[in-house]
Amino acid sequence: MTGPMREWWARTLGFVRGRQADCDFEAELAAHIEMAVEDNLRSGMSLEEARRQAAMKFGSRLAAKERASDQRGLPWLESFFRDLGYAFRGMRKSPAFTGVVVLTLALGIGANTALFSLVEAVLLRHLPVRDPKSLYFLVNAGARGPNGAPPYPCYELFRNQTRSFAGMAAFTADNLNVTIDGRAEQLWGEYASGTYFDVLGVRASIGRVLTAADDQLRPPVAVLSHAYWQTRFGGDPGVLGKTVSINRTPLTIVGVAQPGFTGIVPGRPSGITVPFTVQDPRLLAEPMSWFFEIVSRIKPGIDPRQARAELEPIYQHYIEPLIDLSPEMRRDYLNHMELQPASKGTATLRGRFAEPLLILMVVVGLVLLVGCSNLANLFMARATSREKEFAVRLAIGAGRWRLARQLLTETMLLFGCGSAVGLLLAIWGSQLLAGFLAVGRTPLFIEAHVDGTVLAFTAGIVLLTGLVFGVAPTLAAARANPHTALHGSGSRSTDSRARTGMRQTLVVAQVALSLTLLVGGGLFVRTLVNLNRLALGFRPQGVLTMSVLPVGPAYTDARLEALWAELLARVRKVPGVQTASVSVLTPLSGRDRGVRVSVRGFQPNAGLDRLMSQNHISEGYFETFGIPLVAGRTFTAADREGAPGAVIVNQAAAKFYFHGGNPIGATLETGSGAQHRVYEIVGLVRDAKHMSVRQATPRLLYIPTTQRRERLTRLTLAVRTAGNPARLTAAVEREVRALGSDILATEVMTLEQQVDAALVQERLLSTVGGFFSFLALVLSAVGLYGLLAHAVSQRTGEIGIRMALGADRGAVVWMILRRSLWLVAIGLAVGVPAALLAARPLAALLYGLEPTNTTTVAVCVLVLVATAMLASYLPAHRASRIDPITALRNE
Amino acid sequence: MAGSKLDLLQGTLDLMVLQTLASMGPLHGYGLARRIEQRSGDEVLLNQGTIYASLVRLQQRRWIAAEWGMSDTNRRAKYYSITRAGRKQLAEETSNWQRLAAVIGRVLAPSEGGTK
Repeated sequence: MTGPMREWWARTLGFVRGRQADCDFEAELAAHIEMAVEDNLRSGMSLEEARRQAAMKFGSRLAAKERASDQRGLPWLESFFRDLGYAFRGMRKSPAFTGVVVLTLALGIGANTALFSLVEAVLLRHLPVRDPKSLYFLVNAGARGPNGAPPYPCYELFRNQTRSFAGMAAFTADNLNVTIDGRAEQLWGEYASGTYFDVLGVRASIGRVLTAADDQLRPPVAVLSHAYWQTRFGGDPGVLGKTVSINRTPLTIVGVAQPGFTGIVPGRPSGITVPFTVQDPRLLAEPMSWFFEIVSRIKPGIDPRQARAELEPIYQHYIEPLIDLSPEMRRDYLNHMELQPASKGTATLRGRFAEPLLILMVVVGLVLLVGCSNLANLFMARATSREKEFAVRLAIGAGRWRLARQLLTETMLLFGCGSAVGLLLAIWGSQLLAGFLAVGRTPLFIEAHVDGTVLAFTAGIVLLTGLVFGVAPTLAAARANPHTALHGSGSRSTDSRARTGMRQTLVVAQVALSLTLLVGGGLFVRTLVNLNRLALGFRPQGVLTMSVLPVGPAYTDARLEALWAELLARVRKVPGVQTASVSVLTPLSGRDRGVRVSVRGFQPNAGLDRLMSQNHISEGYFETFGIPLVAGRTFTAADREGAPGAVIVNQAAAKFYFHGGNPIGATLETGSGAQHRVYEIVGLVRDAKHMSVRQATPRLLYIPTTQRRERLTRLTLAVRTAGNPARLTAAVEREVRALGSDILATEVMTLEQQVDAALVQERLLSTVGGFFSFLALVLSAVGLYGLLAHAVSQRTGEIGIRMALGADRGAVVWMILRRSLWLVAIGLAVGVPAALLAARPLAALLYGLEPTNTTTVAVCVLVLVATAMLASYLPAHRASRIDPITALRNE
Repeated sequence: MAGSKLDLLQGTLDLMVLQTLASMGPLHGYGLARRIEQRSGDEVLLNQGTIYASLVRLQQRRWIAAEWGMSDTNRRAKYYSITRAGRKQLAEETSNWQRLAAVIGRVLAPSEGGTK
């Protein structure tokens, strides 16, 4: 260790040990002085003179002590702690100021941190796997963009014939029906090829992960996720070797994956991974199958473009000879190969929430800005009122830098406290926001937490806002001249013209920003209202739905049919149930099924013209969902297997195939060969929203469950009641269970919940956006109030004179209000164009109104003006209550 | 200001303390201060108290060591002595100083036969 390094080490030790060395030093100094006195006495001085000379020679004992102790410890750190102590006392002494600052910051920082934690989780977080950046999805693409992996046989060609890749794996995530210890449950899991874990570089925490050999299914095995192992099996290692069954295939659990890894579909944590080949072998051999994803890792040093170039000829060679492929399909979907980065997992979640989240991020950023403008004003006002204190300190010899350092400490302490409270708010808020997404039939589980990245973000904004809005205004205001400040009479100091201008500018900016936020929030709220008001085509109130799934091995086709009939009969007898039905799909479930049809008398122009959405429904379906019958009849018990085929179509189908003519009695065919069916259209129903609220209703074909085209292994039971449908849950579930213990009832929810879930983005934007624009409004009202209140207190004397000279109370109120009106008017002049400009990119997220919607803007302006007047009235009123005599006496 | 003069002379004072201890053997603070005063007057030591910050610093760098002992007048006093590291430092600093002094002297000397 060199000398200076030793010195620092000794200083740090000295700092930690504190003041114990002082006593020792005191004794040393005492000895020094006494030795000096003795010497002086010896040279013949009187005792008094000897002491005086000794003290003089020594110089200031205090200074010597201070210098030595500065040398002994870490003086800057000590003075920092002193400043901190002083700052704490200052905070306690003005609780109102401290409260306002801390609350404003807590809200602003809390909101930003909470949203950022969600942004981090959804948009930024990488998969917890080895080197995620070299992972790519291999996808088909065409005129309609990229979509899924090419057919499975093509994947096998890629795997065997390419050299750019270190490995590739096929996988697909789905709801799996798992039977564990004889109990059926539904679990989100993945089918994945044996190479999956190897490609991702995910290891086992106990047992082993899948290997390429497991594709052979000798025997079929499964791997659990660590999280599922913990929650379902309590982390019991005895789970290895246990047999579970998935869709009636028995599988042996051979391992648990490493902690933190839950598949590569963000928002949908997978609990179990089973071999890809467990799926129907016919499905895998299907030349045009189209149901999974390929994740690959390219070799180090290989460019993704190079890898793509290697795939392309294999792909074209595979696709070209497919005879069943229409030219549109080829152009739109199966045109060429693309590589998409897979470092963050599949893109569905990001695609849905990137835009809303970024918009909300901007919103909370602006709210913080509005809040911070208030703080800047407050800090300036406070520094002004402390001018005297600063002047005194400067006058008695404090250095300007020393003073600045203390102000810095004070300000940053306040910002630190505010952001600490904000972090607590953020932890709660991010859970709340994540909860927003965890609704509906396919809830999203976002693990938003305050981690290192989020903390760094928060620290960054605290530092930035603290310096810009806290320290800068304080220092600007504190640049006092001791002479003039001490000269100033009275307790009030006057604001300089520049400072007042600065504060007014801040308020104008607040008004403009608030208006922008209000307009944005208003547009989103009205979008949600519009969507809710939209004719859904069905009545969502009073309907309870649940997915019913018989998983036992004994359910043959015949037994299934009997089961559905019995289920309906039982449920219809439950008190409170008005009607009940089973169906494959329900409105707004987010799912769809397609079927190719030939309508007699209709000439298709393109392959897609023959495509309809299909739904299998039982009798009572239209009554239960409140979809009105327009013509013909609904299904009855007579439409059973063997009877003439009967189907019902919606208005969209009638319009398309019959040009609005009457479709009743027309003939419609589906399938070919053994699957060929001929149906008569017996009914026409009104259009009801199908997959999503925003999409126009597609052409829909309703087929009776009793004349099914396919095996109906899973249906959704729906019951309508007059009251609250959630109350029927227990009774209906009891009926389902009574039919067999191996029947699963999942996804229990009311139809209204389902509608809400379908509008989750819109609700997120309108609720969170609306809340924060309201917050901005309140903050700018506070800002305006603060400015005027400060102005009134500064102008007490002037107002007193005016009143003494005969101004009445009304004139005084008007004087104050006029000033506030001016500020608001300038703010609006800036804010209205800003709001219109800011709203323009939102067009795609709105529904039923333009971003430049005049009503919304007008209402927002009115709300803002009203709020501003309310905020100005208090100071104006106070000004009118000034007693001229007292005011002038104080002057 | 007083502070800036001290800063300027801080290194000088440290060096003088080391030199004094090296030549005189262990001394207490008062003795050191007197000795330095005698040799340099008030040029280096503003007053006797100034020396103590220097003593603390030199101790921290382990160039000197301190020990309580008895003075000739039978008084308890703290005695400082130079360490082996201190001697090494002193030798280095002394040659640095001499080199620097020589350079400065050459630079500041009136030029002999220089160009105008």
